[in-house]
Amino acid sequence: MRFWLDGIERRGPAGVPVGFVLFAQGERVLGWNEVTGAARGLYCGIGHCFECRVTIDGIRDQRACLVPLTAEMRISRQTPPLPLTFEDAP
Amino acid sequence: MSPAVYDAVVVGAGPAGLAAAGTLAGRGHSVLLVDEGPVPGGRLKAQWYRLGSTVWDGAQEVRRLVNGVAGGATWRLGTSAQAISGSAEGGFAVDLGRETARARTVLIATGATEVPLPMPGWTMPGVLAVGAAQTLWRGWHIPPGTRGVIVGANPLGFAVAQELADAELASLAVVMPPGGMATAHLGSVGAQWDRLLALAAGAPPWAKPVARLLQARPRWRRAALRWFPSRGIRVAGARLQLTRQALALEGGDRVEAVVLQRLDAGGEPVGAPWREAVDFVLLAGGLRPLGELLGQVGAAMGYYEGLGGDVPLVTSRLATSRPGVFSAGSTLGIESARVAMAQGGLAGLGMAAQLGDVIPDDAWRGARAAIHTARRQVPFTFQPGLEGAHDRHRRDSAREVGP
Ligand code: FES
Repeated sequence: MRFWLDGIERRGPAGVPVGFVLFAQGERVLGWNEVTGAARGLYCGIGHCFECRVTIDGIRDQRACLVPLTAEMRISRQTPPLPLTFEDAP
Repeated sequence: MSPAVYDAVVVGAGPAGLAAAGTLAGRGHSVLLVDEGPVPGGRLKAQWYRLGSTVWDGAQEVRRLVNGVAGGATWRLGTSAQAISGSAEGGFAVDLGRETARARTVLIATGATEVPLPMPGWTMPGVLAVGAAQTLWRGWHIPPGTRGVIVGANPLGFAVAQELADAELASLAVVMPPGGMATAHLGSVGAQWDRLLALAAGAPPWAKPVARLLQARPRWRRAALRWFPSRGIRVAGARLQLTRQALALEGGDRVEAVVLQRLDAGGEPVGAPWREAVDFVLLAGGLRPLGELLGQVGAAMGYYEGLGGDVPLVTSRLATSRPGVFSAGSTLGIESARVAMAQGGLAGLGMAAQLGDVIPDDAWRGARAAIHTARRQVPFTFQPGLEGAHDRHRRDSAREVGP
């Protein structure tokens, strides 16, 4: 069954939580910490830690360990926001 | 068709919630069953172990419990109960995000969460809480990797090691957690060994080799550990290395190595640390009851080390101090899934009584007896001092919330 990870076509079994599907396919990194930029991935597998949050069909911060894969699902890993910078007023 | 007000909202579709929902639905009450997970069963569905000549198959137990509920309940899977408050019309309002469910009674059966085991490198991908490996392998047949360690020598870690025995891992070792501030709640290495010793008394299948080694009384612990082979002993599918400690986890975008340290029989480091290549690490910090919603409704709580943490004080019908709110399962203390199921049955009766059902005496007796039976059948206890904790919890509960 077809789904998309960061815009790239993939196949996986329907009904299995997205985070587990990606883990089984060797994808350990599910996103990057918003503050430190460090890679993060599946941790508790039961919805408690929020380390697995990804954007699914446009909705941010979905827990990948809880959401079952469905056909044509669009999953994207959330990049860290740009660092805050000060700009001199002209 | 869903009623405007449910007789009962059950939060958590693990063994306790499912059993309670089955009891309530069987008596004709309207039940809404809520769980965050995509499928019912909670942690039970991934449990699998041998007990004498029989096998405990959690997935099968879940199917049985779900059949018991059958169409008698309205299901809300993949749904988080975010808040519970009293509703203006009486009863409760349970905030489920997209909707608010109203209820006459509520069961909080949210189970347990793993205690974090923070150590250098623990947020790296490839480092999992040990329960996640159990879910991955038993639930979906996905191995956690090929070569790894379990950090933390406790019952949950051993149980999962046993469940990974057929995952064809190149190697799996169980080592001690690092010391220091972050793991101070675990006590010294010596204290952790003593706890293992206390547990080995009720020797579960996987602990037989440890039990034999540790049957020595605590004061013999030093002597026993002096002869403990540094390569470890085989326990279930893993090598138990009580005299090795993990100091740090290393890698980049995924974990690649664990830094290990040898310990002497007193738990003190000897020699220089070294690194071993791994492609996964499982952290076993133990379980603690998950009762945030109980705090929200203002139920009276107490702390009991033997039960794993903060639990609600409850009547003999498992009613909390907040009228209409009940609790069952690991939320009431870390015990086996069988105990959780039996508690769910009792809480279901308690809620039915609250809703006006007349419950005959022998039904109460039967439900309580089921809990005692389940406690005798446990493969292992999670915490030493469970019985003492039960006694104190019962006394405090009787004083604070009544019989
Ligand atoms: S892995 Fe912890 S919430 Fe998903």
